[in-house]
Amino acid sequence: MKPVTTILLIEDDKDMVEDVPPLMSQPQYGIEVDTILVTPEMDIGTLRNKIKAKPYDCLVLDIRMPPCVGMTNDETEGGRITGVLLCRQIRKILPTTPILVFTAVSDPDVQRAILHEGANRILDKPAQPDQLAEKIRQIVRSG
Amino acid sequence: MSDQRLSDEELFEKYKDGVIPPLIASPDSRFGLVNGKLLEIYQRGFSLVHSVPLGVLLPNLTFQPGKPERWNEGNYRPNESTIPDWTSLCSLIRKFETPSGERPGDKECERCDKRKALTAEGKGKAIAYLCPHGLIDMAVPVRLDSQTIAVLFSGQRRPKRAAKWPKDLLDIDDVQTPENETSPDLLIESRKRIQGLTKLGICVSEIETAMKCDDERQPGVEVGPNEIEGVLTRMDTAALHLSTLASNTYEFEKARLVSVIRYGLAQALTIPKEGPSNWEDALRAMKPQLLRFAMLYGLDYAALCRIVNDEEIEIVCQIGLDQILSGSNRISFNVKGTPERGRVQRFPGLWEIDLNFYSELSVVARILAQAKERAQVFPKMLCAIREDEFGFVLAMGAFRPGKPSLSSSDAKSVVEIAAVAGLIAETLYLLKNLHQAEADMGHLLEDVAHDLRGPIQTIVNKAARFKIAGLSPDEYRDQARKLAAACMRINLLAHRVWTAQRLWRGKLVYKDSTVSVKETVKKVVDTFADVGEREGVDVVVDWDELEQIRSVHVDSDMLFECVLNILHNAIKYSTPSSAGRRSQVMIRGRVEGGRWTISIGNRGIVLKKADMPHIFERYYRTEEAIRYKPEGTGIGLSIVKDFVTHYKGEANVTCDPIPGTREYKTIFEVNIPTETRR
Repeated sequence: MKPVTTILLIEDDKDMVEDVPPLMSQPQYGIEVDTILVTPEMDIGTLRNKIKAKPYDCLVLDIRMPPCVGMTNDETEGGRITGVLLCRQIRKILPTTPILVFTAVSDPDVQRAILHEGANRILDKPAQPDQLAEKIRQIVRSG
Repeated sequence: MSDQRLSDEELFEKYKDGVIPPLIASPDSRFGLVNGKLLEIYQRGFSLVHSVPLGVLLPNLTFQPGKPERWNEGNYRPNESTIPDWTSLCSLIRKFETPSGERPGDKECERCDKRKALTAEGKGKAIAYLCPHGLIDMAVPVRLDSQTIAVLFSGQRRPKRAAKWPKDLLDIDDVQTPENETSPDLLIESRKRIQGLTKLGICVSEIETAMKCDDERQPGVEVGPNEIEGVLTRMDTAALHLSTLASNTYEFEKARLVSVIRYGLAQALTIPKEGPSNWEDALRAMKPQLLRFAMLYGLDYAALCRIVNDEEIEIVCQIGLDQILSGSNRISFNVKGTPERGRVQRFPGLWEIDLNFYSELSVVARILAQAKERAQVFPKMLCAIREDEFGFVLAMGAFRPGKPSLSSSDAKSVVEIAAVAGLIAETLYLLKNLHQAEADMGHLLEDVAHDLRGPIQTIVNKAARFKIAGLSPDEYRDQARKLAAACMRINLLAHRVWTAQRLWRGKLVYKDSTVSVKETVKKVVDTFADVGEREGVDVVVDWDELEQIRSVHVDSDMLFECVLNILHNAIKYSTPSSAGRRSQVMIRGRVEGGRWTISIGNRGIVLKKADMPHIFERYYRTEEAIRYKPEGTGIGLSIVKDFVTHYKGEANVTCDPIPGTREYKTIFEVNIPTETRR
């Protein structure tokens, strides 16, 4: 039996959180998706605990999200780079887990910043489920 | 090629990199030679005036007249001889030391020499003047081969009957133009004038020495009255020739000044990205021109300033007597009294102010009064102002005691300088706005791109899910509704951007017609049905109240846009009810006092009082709104504002805490006069 890839999707878009798990669990993809819906009420500590609660083959992270409690508007540039700060936090607790950034932010400076913080790959939205699954496979394979 | 033949553009190209030919001058000598063209003299020579005794004369050039009818530039020959030293009196003044070792006379002589040299240079005339220590001195500009190469100084004799002589400038008026060069009448007239100099006791031997006429007399030998006439005749002719060489200098110089300032402007305009502070930098970059301006007009102090606020002026760039404003570049002024002493002489755009006068030109006079208070030196200052939306830009200068007023033509030049300085400042102010607009537009495009990609991704995902077998009819309907909501998000964004860009470009034309408010609101609510569902928000409308408004006379599309934007905000920033119920947005309406009102209220995030005055500004988003929903463009409510402004109405917002909860009730209200027909 083919081993199942498990990923954690960290997103603020309800539709993404709703759609990605059933799409990725299709037999042709075989990816099991847990999700965290990021909200302004969410505490950064809670978020960290959820991330490290279970080992994942890969984390899929958005960039532009509401700043969590514990983050300021200034440091996240009004939510524009919340994912960059989260990535830094994640790298402190999960130094080696691959991180795929799946984002609608196309600003090259921001993309460079998140790669600098330890993200492994970036996939631009919109992307077909095939592309997302392929990117996840690549990033998991290359470790 | 001579610079005179270069166009402004060519000049700019030539000098834009700041490549300035070398200065050939001895810092120790009384005289120096600037081996460059006029522009270089000003750019370089003036920048040295603080440290180098200017007194620009050729240390290695001699005038060899030969026969007058064959005079040309070739009469100037290199000369190995030494430069005549100061007169003993002049040396005494210059060498006088205070107990602290300072040599104030030295500084004063330098300053005086610089000023007079540049006055002569600027006027293109030889000038004779009485120095502050009572010496007669002369400054003669020398122009050679399209270059102003020097200003010759001579004289420096103490007149025997100083009290009878004019106290300041005595221009040799009629000897400088090519047109009058051969006019016998003018020559006679000018000779008379020159002869008048004998009464001033000028040491003609020094003049003779300085100019190296081909007289057999030895330099420095005193001559008797009978010989003076012959010497003066030669001097007259020499001065005529020198002045001829200097002809057009002044006009050329003015033209060049404009060129230099244009260059400064061009330089400022080529600074691409430091927008907000650029205009200050540009004013600072004008320091050489300001220095030139001050020297040209014999000012001891000049500055470019800007009004910071009602109580402060910032000296952005200043030259000469820096001690005036040492310690701070900001002057506070708070002069409340309005003593009526003093007087104001006004040229167009220019004020010459007796600093005891504070009243009519209150701001300027206050500034200058402050400057004077610190300086304790100058009884009068000169100030040219350009006022625009940016504020003030001032070119100002101070006169020494006893200095006569400027002529109206000089005043005009000062005004021109201030005007150009103002133009630069204004241009940079506009640039600042432009850079800000570009930055805002960049953010807007980024936001729009982001906010488009989100729902597009949703559409992609939903479409993929439809392909998966096993969706129940209910699930299918649910997914279809969410798909529709994603499409509507894109549609709303596109609509808002489209309206905003028409509005900002002045392309939006309001087309009034009779519109049913109720129908419009219904259309908006229907539009948001799926979006509201997605966000967990119910929209409740008091249709009876809206019915009261009946129809209004406005642009139907803009009314739709207005309601749509407010409702979208209300849905977007509604928070889930603490009791776990769906949130509610309430739409109401009324007619009273000749106005119709639509109000849209929700329970949601706080809107602070400090944000309220700005909430309808373009791009403005509150901290809380950003935190709650990072996506957004901040343009929706600016469209609302434009709508109500167009119909002379009002848009208001209130936000109050809901007792017993951590929620806030926010109500946006738009009210418009019932009668909007024109």
